[in-house]
Amino acid sequence: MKFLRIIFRNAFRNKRRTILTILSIGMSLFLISTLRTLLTSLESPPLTPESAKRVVTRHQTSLGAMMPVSYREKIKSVPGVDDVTATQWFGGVYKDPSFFFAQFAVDADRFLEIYAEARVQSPDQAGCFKRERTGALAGVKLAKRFDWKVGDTVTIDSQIFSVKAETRICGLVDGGGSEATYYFHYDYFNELLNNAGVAGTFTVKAKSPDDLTAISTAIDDMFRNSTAPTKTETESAFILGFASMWGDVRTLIVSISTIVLFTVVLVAANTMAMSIRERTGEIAILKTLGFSPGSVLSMMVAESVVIAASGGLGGALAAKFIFGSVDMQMLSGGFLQGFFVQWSTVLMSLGIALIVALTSTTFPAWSASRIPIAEAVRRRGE
Amino acid sequence: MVAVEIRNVSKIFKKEAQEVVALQDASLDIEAGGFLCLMGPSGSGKSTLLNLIAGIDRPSGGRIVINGDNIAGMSESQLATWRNHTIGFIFQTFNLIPVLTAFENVELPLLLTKLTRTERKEHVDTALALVGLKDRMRHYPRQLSGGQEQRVAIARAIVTDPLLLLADEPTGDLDAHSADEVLAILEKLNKEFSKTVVMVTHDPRAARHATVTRHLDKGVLLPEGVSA
Repeated sequence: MKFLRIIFRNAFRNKRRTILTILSIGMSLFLISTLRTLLTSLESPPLTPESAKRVVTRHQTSLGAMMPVSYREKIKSVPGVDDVTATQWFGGVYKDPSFFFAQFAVDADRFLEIYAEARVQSPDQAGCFKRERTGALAGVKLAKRFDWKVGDTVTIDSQIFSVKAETRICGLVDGGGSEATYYFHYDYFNELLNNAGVAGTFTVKAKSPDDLTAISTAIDDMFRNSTAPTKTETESAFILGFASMWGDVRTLIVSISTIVLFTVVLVAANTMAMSIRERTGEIAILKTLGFSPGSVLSMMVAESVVIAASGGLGGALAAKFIFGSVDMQMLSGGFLQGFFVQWSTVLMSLGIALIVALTSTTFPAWSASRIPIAEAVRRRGE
Repeated sequence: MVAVEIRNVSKIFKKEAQEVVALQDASLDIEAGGFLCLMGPSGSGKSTLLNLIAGIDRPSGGRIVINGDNIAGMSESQLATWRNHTIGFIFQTFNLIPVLTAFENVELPLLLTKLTRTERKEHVDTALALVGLKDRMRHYPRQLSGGQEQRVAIARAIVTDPLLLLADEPTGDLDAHSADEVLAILEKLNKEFSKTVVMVTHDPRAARHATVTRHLDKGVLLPEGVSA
């Protein structure tokens, strides 16, 4: 404890350099915290008791390939399946391509039973959605963003199917990630496609979460030798698969994080090497006063820890509070759910900062602490 | 009583294939409570001898016994602890840690002891009072004159109450007035507090404060009364 004062004074002796180093470490750890949160958000979206009962069936080849909608009834006949809805990604543009948000064509009569966590504001609105051919449900955040009200007509131009869906908002929906999503009738979508009778995915609700594995196997076995074989997986695996259309997201994120980490180690090593070299004479004085090489080494490493930990903690806490105050679900058009920097990520950043401190400082500090006093005294005027 | 016993000590620096003899077969006894001045031209080996006595450099041959301890056989860590207890060293320049106040600079060697915070404060107050700088204890080195800085360095050197005070050209960078102040303090510490002082200097005026003066020339310690 009695050395803390000298450690802090030395750490901040060149304020500009120390602040710049803290900022560079902070920015790097902000980025690493953000990337880790992104990965967590993609790989482990928030689970609800309802979502734990659901699996998603898609074409085995890719998400872009379609399946006959007749699969719906066949899937429903699989033992353990409670209900099924076609869930079709529409990929539409509302007014401007920059107004991106997720739109799904769903079986209106089944959707609210299968996605029980999605709450419509009133039974009348739910009834309207089920009844009206062009009826739609808008997520509450989406409605707020575009100033939509119940009864408004919303036209969405699909970039995938080259059709326009002219829908009317029957109600607003909230909960389970529906806040930033737009839902309309699969039957209407099918009409727009001249009754093509195809669907990209089916969401399957099991009677019990224990049956999910058996149901997935049974569904995929059922269509194994068909023209459109299927792949059935949990919702979280499906979302990650969706993200992987951009490439190997995990490898990409880990690679970027590694490069950032390597760069920050170099920055910190350069700063500490400069700082230590400037103080060769002072190190000689400390050793003359009776400080052992070990205590000199410990003090210099501690200085580095103070700097790196300030940056690491600052960066991670900034990420936590910034992403805590920004609605990432809306910004990502409903794609990212539960995008919150966890305390475990803050601790991880602190751990990385400590590793940065140790790897960047140990060698130059060890070398400096071992310089014979007489040689250090001779060098001090250099 | 002999405080420092130096027997046949030599120091050879190796630079690539070349060997430079900095000190050759030096033998010397320094009495406890004595004030020895080492003089000689640049490169004569006087600072080398001082560094060897302080245990901050190791001899190539010979024996150095200080207060009964043969320091040649000590490890780095043992030497560090020994220096803390036994030696007070004053450099010519770059003596204080710039980010610490005068008080904190003087307190530094005490951080390695088991003294409490209050006890450390008492020791530092006493040492700074002795060099006449108690009113400057909160000042940083940049806020002090060269002479005041050197007096703080003396306070730091004596704060652990060491047996030996070693000064390497302590007045080399000071004006005449400040130099006189520093020399007066060293003389006071020798006469009133019975500290054994070894001082290296070029300055014959400074040497007048010592009780014994020895000269070195080209690494050879000349007999008493002989100068280069």
